[in-house]
Order: sequence, then structure tokens, then C-alpha cells
Amino acid sequence: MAGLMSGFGCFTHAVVRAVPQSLARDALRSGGLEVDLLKVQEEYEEYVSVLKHRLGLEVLELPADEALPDCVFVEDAAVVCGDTALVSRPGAQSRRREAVKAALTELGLNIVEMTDESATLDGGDVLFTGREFFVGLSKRTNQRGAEILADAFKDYAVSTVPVQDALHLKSFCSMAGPGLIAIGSSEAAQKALKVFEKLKDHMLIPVTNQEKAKVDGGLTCCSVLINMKKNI
Amino acid sequence: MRRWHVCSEMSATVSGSPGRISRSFTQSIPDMTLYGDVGTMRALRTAQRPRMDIRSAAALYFCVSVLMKRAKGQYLFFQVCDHLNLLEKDYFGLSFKDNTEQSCWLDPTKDIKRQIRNSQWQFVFSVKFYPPDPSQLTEDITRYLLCLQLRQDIASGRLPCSFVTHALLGSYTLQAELGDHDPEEHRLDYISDFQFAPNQTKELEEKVVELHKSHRGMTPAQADTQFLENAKKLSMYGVDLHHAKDSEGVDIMLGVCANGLLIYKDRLRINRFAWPKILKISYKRSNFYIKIRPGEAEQFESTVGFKLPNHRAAKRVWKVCVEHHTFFRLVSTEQPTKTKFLTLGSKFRYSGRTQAQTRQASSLIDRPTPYFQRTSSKRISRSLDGGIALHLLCLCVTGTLGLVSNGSMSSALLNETSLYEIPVHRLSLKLRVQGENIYVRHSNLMLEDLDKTQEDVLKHQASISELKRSFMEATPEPRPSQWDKRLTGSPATSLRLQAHGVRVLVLGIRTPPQTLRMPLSLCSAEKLVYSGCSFKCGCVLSLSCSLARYFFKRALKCSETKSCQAAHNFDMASPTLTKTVGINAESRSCVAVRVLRLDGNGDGEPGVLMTAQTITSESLCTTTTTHITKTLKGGLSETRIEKRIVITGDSDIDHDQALAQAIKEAKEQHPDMSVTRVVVHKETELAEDED
Repeated sequence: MAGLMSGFGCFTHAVVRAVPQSLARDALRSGGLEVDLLKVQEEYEEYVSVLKHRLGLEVLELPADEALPDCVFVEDAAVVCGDTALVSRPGAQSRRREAVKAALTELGLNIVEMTDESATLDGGDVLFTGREFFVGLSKRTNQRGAEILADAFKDYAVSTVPVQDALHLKSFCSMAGPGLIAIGSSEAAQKALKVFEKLKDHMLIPVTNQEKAKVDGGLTCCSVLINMKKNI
Repeated sequence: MRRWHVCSEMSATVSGSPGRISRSFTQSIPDMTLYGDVGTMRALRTAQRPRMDIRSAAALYFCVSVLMKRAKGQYLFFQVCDHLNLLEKDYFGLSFKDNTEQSCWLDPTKDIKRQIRNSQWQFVFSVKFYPPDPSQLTEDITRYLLCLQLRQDIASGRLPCSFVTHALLGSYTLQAELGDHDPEEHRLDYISDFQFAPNQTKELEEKVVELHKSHRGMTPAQADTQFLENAKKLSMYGVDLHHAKDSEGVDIMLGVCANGLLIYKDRLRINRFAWPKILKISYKRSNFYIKIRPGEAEQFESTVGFKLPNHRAAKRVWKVCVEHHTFFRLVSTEQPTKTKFLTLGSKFRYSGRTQAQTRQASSLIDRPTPYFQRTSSKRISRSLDGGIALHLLCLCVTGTLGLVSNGSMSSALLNETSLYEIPVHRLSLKLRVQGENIYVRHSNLMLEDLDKTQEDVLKHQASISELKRSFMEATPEPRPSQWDKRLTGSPATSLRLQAHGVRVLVLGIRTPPQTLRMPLSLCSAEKLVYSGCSFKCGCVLSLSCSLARYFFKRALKCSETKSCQAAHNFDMASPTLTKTVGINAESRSCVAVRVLRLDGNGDGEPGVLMTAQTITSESLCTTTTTHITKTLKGGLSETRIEKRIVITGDSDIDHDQALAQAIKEAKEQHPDMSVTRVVVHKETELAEDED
């Protein structure tokens, strides 16, 4: 069974989405900085190239939708683990239509849809360690969303981590390897760190963000990683 | 907790779910039937225990004999493990439901009777500590038992998993149980007897079959290993849940597992306290507290408190934590505990071996892989109970001592057991007359209606006097040796002498409490020898399945009603012997009813053999025997009357009905005796030429 048997961190496919022009002006952001669209485009292409050529993933590129300025951040739209994809309900109203459902269905995944209107979940708040899920409760993800995720992935424990002063849980941390969480040095990160400390003994490596951070983007935001290997 | 039932024939009651967590999970566990293989036994003819046939299905049935008043939990547990041929016992335990319907573990160091108190004597053999790495278990049989438990946990919903996991684990179950997928034999409905998930859909079954096909070539042991490799990763594997409230009164679940304590709110894990982080656990009234080591940035320890429904629940959680911590974290139980745990009130400590110790012991296991058969006994469990679920098992019936003192009772039993004891493996192809086990035939059978009122008890006493009189009026039988000749020569016996295989009944419990003798298995295709002990009055019945169930219930009631209080006098003569009789033919069931009655006071001499009577009809031969023993010890004497009915007939006899008829007749004659023991055996393939 893909979920429990596959090696953690091994993926075969990646779903990405092209950068819409509207991102520069309309993408949600916490700061007020100018965004150089060309630079964003360059970064995106480099990113996809790494996924394709350096990592050997099969990349499924979805077209941009100008009406959805944040659509490049596909991670928030779905959570994939094993052969099940949970199509989430992003916390931000403007992002609700960023459905990647069709692409995931095409890949043969079991689709679970989050239809509960009281639930919100951004994929960026979901950290899968290989053995369990951590869901950040932030402005974009609530308890109900976490519960629905727990229902969708019954094999795994789902723990909640409060996220304050940051957009998503994965804004300041991510998996750097099996049993290894990389976590930032910001205040928000440190607060969450306390929770992680309680729950796991993980090594921590600080990382930084670049241009996309201006629109609150992190590295993980830009892709949905799928392991299609030996799927049952 | 989960239930095991060894020997499906003996299923007596269906227990409800212990309901330890909020969801309606049933704690029943896979079905295991314990029985021997006649062919093998005959071939072996040595002191080997019967091969075990373990069936996996809904519940494992277990039947245990009555225990002496002072038997400790460990004794019973070891006997069960013995029956199951299990060496790696430390992961398992016996549980029972207390009078508040809560499941409790049977403390091996304490008397069973003290722990059971007023609850029913029904025990469940289940996994107590789920090993985090089942592949490190030494024996396949241990893994198999763990699988059975997990199948139950999954089927009941206690262990939630995803659709794909249900399918995968189910496919390993099929591979282990049925072997390679055979397109001819295995059409779609072949798996409908199995339950892979609480809600089993067609879609799931199809997926299971699809996966089953892919395991071609996998041996049952390998399939079990794969099953466990996947199951162990599930987040709720080995988590023992308890309802509680946090310090703010919010409903939560406390989960105790090998790694520590987990806190769940709804379906989410909101906190986890690994054992190294916990400095101290305690309980006070209905609150449970844990003291946490300070984090890096903190200076002081913190204490987290939880509110449990009541004091007992708080203590229960505390005990489970102590046990899990000790088992999984400590190297040995001799470690000083004062630095780790302070107790408020209870000195309870885990008394068993730790995982480290059991692993070490396991590495010394050097025996050939015990053979065991796996068969789906879903059908059996269904037929026994009419439903899919899970049955329960182990029934112990116990009497009360009543008017006689312990000492004299013990000796009385000692006398009895020495008369009737037979080593189980002494199989013989010939009808063997053994001093210890000659059944004397008698005309009177006494059975007690178990729901007697006080006046009934008095009536009972009166009828006992009657019996006594009739006994005394009967011609006393000659000495044992002459009896032997008579028995072997009698026409009634000769009917049975076409059979080979000696059925052995071990009855009675011995005395000193620690050397409690447990039931010994017989070696026939389906059997269980169950020997019970009655201190006051009792009846041993050898029955076929459904009737066994009935009598178990009755036996249980007897112990509860305590209606056999009377003491009577009997004059006794010389001691007598009984003899086992072989039963004919392949599918004949031997139905034997043995009634035991204990009485106090009197004068005198050891037991006497009274009359015997055989009634033969066309297809049925009924023999009842009575044995009366009187012993004197320490100023008190006890009289025991045993009645035994043996019904034999052709294979198409309706044994249940025959027995019911016999019982009915007996009851009419003497409505006072009570049933406290049930033995089931079925003779098969007995030899010729017994004389």
C-alpha cells in the first residue's frame, strides 16, 4: 500500500501551475512590496526544471488562470498522501476556485473532497512526516479542516500545531528528510517549535525564502508532490 | 479488551463490548478453536499434547475449568497459554468485565476469586502489550495470535484505517488463511465470511480479492508478517484509549501506548507525552496527573491533570500507564521506582517481565516451530451465536465452599481427584481399565434446577435424604476388581468396546491451591475436556456443542445461586473405582453426565460404589452411574455423590436431544442436583476388540 509502504520522500510526479500575470498585482500578501513578474517567471521555470531534470519527476503543468492570481501556489489546493488526494477548501475566499481536482483524478488518485462549509484547509498548513501529519491551525486552516484531513487519512495520526504570525505552518518549516524537520528562526517558528519539541525529536535546519516570500510564498507552496510508484 | 475463545464447542455466552473508547468498539477477538487431531494422537501415542487447530474468525473461544478458591490469575493464564502452545506469553493477558461492565486485566499475582468478586467468570485472552516491532517476535505462533487480535481490532473499528489498508490487511489474512488465490475455488463469495472492516462494502471485498491474487506463493507465516508490518504503522496500533476530560472540562481521549501518553480531541491528536518526558504519574480521586519534564527554555516541571469518570477509571489509567511504561521502557522490574514514580495510595506495580526480558527469554526459545492449523471459523462463530460477532469465552464455574471448611474440602477433593485423575496423553487403543477412572453405573440421576428458592433448598435436602435411603437399600456392589470383570463382561459395555481410544476425563480440582489442575485436552476431532470443580454440588456434563452452551450458563447460575447449602449424612462403604468406557464409531458423541454432590458431616468411611443401571433402546444406550464418596478429615466429613450418565448411540443420534431427555428424567427424579461442570468430548474412530 503506497501510503505506508513507500519510502518517505520519494515522489514520482509533481503537479505545478503556471504563473498568472495577475500575480504581481493581485496575489494576496502580507507585506506591500513590489513584485517583479519577470523574476517570478524565471524562478518558476528554474523550479520546474529542477523537478523535471534534476529530480526526474514527471511534471504535470497546469495552465495559469488569470482570475486566480495565487494559483501558482498549488500546494494549498490539495493534500496528497499515498494514493489519496484530499481536495481542500482554501481559507482565503479568493482561492476557493483553485481546483486541481481534474488533474489529480487524471493521475488515478482517490479523490476526497472537502465539502464541509465550516472547514478550511490550506495545503501549506499540512506537514507530513512520513509517519504522521501535523496541521497548522492558522488564519487559513481551522480545526474542522484538520478533522476532515484526519478522516481522509485514517492510517495516520494527525496533530495540530498553532500557527501565529505566519501564513502557514510550512512558511517556516518543512521536512528535510526522514525524521528531520527544517524550521526557521523567526518568532513564529520558535513558537511552533515548542510544540514540535513536545511531539517529536527532530533536528532543525534554518532556511530562508526569496522573492516569493514577498507574496508569502515558500518553496513548498509551488508544487504538489505525488508518489505514483507501485501504486495499488 | 479482546476475547478469545478456545474450543468453539464450548461457547456459552456472548459478551457485549467492553466499550473502552467512545466509539462502539467491540473488544472481541478472533476465533480460535482448540482441538486435537485423532489421527495424529493415535500415531503419536506419546506424551504429546494434541495438535492445536487455531481458527481465525470472530472470536477465540476458551473454556477453562473451575478453579480452586485460592488460585491466582497467573495459574489460569499459564494454563491458557499452555493450551495455545504459546511461549512468548508476556505480551498477552486475561481480561474480564467487572460489575460495572468495564474491562479489567486479571492480575496474575492475586487470587482470581478476589478479583472477580461478583462478576461473571468469563475471561478473554487478549493482547496486552502490542509489540512495536512484531518481526522481532521469535515464534510464528505469537505473530499469528497477534494477527488474530488485530483482525478483531480492525473489524470492530477499534483500530481505524484507510480503505486501502483494510484491503491490504484483508488480503494478507486471506493469503494466510486460504493460501494462494484459486480462481476456481475462490469465487467472489468466498470471502463473505471474513470481516475486514467495520463496514464492509463490495468494493472493499473486490479490492481484497485483487490484492490476494498478488500474494501468490506467500506462506502463511510470511503473510502474517506482512500483515503486521503494515498494521504496526497505523497510528492507533497498540493505543489503549480511555475517556477523560482535560483540565478545562473538554472531552478528550487518553491513549496509552508503547511510546507514551497521547491526548486526542475528536479525531485529532492534540498532545503527546513520550515516556522520557514524563517524570511522574499519579492519580487522586478521579483525577489523573502527569508531571512533565521542563523543556529547554523552561525552568520548572509542569503538571497536567485529567478528569476521569470516577476513581476506578483514574486508577485504571494509572495502572495501564505503569504497566506500559515498565514493560516497554524498563530493562527489569527490579528498578528502583522511587525516582520515577510516586504513588498515591496504590502499591501496584507491573509484575510481569519487561519487553527486554521477554525478548531475551525468547531468544532462548529453541523448539521446532509449533504446528498449528488455521481455519476460518467464521462459520462456527456464527453458528454458535447466530451473528457475526465476537464471542467470548472462557467460562469458569465455581462453587462455594459452604458449610465445610477449606481444609476438609481440600482433602475431599484430593481424594476425589486421586480417584479420577488420568494423564491426558495416556491414549490407549484398548479399553483400559484404570483404577482411577471406572464409572459405575447407577440408576439414579440427580440434577438440580438451578433457580431454587429457599423452600426448594429444603425440598432438596429432603430428596437427598430420600436418595440416601434408596442408596442404603440398594445392594452394595462388590469390590473394584470384581467390578472390572463385571464391567468388561457386561453386554452394555461390550457395545462400547468396539471403540478404541480412551476418553479421559479429569475431574476435580486438587488441592493445594497452587497446584490447581486444569483441564486436559482429549484427543478427538472436536473436543474439549473441561473439568470443573464444585465444592458444594455439581454435575459434570459431557455434551455436544449447543448443549454445552446451555449447561455452561446453568453452571454459572449455580455458582451464583449458592443454593447447594445442605449437609447430609451418608453411610459409606468401601472405596470404589470408576472406569472409562470407549465409545463407538466415528461420529458418535459420548454424552456423559456426571453429577457430584458434596455434603458435610457424617461418620465414617470412604466411598462406596452403588448400583448401576443400563437402559438400552434401539439406537441409544444410556448408562448412569453413581458414585458416592465419604471422607473424613479434620473432624469434618463430606459426602459426595456423583452421577454419571453416558449416552451412546449411532452416528445419527441426536445427542442433544438424548441428553436433554436424560437430564429431564434425572431432574424429575431428583430435582435438587445442580450442574456445575460441563465436559464435551466426541469420540471418533475408536478401535475394535476392547476386551
